Amino acid sequence: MNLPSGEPLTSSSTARQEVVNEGQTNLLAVTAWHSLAWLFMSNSIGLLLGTLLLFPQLNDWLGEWTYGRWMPLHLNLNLYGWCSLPLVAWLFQVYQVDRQPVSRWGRTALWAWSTALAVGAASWLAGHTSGKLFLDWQGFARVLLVLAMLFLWLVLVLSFRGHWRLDDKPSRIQRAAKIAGLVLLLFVPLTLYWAADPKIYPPVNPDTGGPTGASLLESTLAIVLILLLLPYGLARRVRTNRRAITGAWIFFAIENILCLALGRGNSSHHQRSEILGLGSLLLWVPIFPAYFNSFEWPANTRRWRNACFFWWGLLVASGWLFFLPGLLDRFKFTDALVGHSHLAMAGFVSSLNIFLLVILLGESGRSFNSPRAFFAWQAGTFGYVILMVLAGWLEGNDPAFTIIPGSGRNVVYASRLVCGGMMTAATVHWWLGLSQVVSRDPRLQTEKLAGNRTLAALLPTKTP
Amino acid sequence: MSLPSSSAKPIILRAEGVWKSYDRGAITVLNGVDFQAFTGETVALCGPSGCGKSTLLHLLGGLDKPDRGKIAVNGISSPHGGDWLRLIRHEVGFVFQLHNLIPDLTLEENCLIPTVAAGVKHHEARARLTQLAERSGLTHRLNHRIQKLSGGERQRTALCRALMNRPRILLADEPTGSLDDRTRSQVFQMLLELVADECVTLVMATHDRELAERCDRLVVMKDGRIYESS
Repeated sequence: MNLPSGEPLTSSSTARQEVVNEGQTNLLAVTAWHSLAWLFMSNSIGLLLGTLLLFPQLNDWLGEWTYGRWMPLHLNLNLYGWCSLPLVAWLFQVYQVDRQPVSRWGRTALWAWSTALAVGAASWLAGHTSGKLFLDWQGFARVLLVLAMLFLWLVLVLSFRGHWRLDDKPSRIQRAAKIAGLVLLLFVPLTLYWAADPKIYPPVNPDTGGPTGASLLESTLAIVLILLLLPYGLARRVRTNRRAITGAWIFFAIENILCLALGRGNSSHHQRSEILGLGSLLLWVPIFPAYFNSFEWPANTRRWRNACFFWWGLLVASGWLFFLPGLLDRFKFTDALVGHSHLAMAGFVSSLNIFLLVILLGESGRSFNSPRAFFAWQAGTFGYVILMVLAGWLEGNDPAFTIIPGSGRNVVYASRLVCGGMMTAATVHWWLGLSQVVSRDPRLQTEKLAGNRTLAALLPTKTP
Repeated sequence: MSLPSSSAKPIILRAEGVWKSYDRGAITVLNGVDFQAFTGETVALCGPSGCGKSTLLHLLGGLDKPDRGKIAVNGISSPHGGDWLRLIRHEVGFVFQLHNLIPDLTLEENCLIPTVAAGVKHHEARARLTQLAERSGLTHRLNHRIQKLSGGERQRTALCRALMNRPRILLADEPTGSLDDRTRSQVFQMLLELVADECVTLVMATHDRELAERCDRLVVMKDGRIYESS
């Protein structure tokens, strides 16, 4: 937090600075801890699923909780726990929730989110599923998640309001951007509630049998927007290199116009305009590294940043290649889909999230610096994606390849299990490292002791 | 209605006061059904469309849960967690009206799937399939994909698949409903012979009174209740 210029560093402002720093590290560290806890649970379920594929007879011992019941948990805990919460930490940072008296409500919002996810997990395990991939929310869990998101939104609003009233008011542009962000964020829970209804639009487009290039371009542009916004509030721009930033935003505007021109819904992937439209995303592969290099980043983020760009390039290129007519016909679709999802979530999003957490946590995130854990995760993910592509190709030729016992099937499943084990081992390393930081770091303990002091210390000091 | 109370054979399948409704109670399908089947007998469930035959079969086979009441297989009743489910998986086979085979797989592969889930050794599973394929006249079709088989062959394949793990109970939902008269009679005859040879209890839903009368017992359902049992 920047102190107001010209204010002498009095003992009260020093105390306030300390408490603010404590609260800041604590809320972000706890958010990261929740994220990693969900990643650990999701990975553990992934290992269970991998074991059940290799030894299907073990399903017998699981009662009703067989493979099909655990599948949605693996996906959704990863998506709504691990992939989402680091972005919540980023929002805490951008809206400075961690530096406000409202930071305690930030924790409550975090717990509300995790509780909603736990209720969702219980409902999926009980067999309540809509069959809607990525939006599998029904009944009470669906309402609870939306309420948790709305509560988080309210905390962000209160924090923004409180921040505005305090001594370091944001500039007019910052203020406008943050208000626009809040308006945009309000639509997230409402849209999620609407879109989770299976009656609104079916998982598969009945007219085309699947997504079109335009709809894929549209959804990817939402991710591009998040990536473009990410450096703000985290890093300073390099003064000499502003062209890349301006260029990226101009290209983003062009892409949106292109997306509007292409329309959506019923176009075939045999249409040249659809292929070219989706192919335009390939230009983001070189644009993003240049864009991010226009900001100053801590040295220890380089490894994760590079991994993020590697996966991003692979994701966009492979997504486009598989979109080309004829290619996907040679693969089993579900294998290609699972491979692509792992590439996106375990490769790209996970690297991006850890890059984000390393910046947000500073010294507290030192467990992410381990080269062993880094390479275990990356090699596990890469191996898994390759195995899914291989299995998809083999099953494209022989649909019974992974069903009927055989040495080839067993090798593929066992290798996938090993890859999952490597990823879980890395997760355990990070999670334990962060748990130690959260439980041992005296600075992190003080917020508990400080309690009401946080609020008192943050109130504007009266000067005689 | 009174259930057959005396029999030398033990009861293997029982439904007690079973209720089932859909759409949060808007459509009531079963109104307190009591049903039992004895070891080794063949039972035909008859009645008009919508009377609850298929729903009762689904509940008996553990494919769905009753709102109220109990389902017991071999003396173990439904709210019994893992034991009951394990029993259902190992002791009950199911044949559907539209066979529910995987079209991209061969006949052999379709039949081997349940043995993979049950952990049966591969060579034992193949030996069992050879035996069943011979009995049902499908040996020459083992490596053919389901898309290439006739309706009768598909239904015989479904029957083989249901019997692969040597279940003690076979539930069949209109197993000959989609076949022509001649094929229907052939498939039904084969079904009766197989269940007799393997000492399997058969509970079959059917519209066909003629086929139903070839079973040991006829149970007539109407408006979600057992109307008559003879």
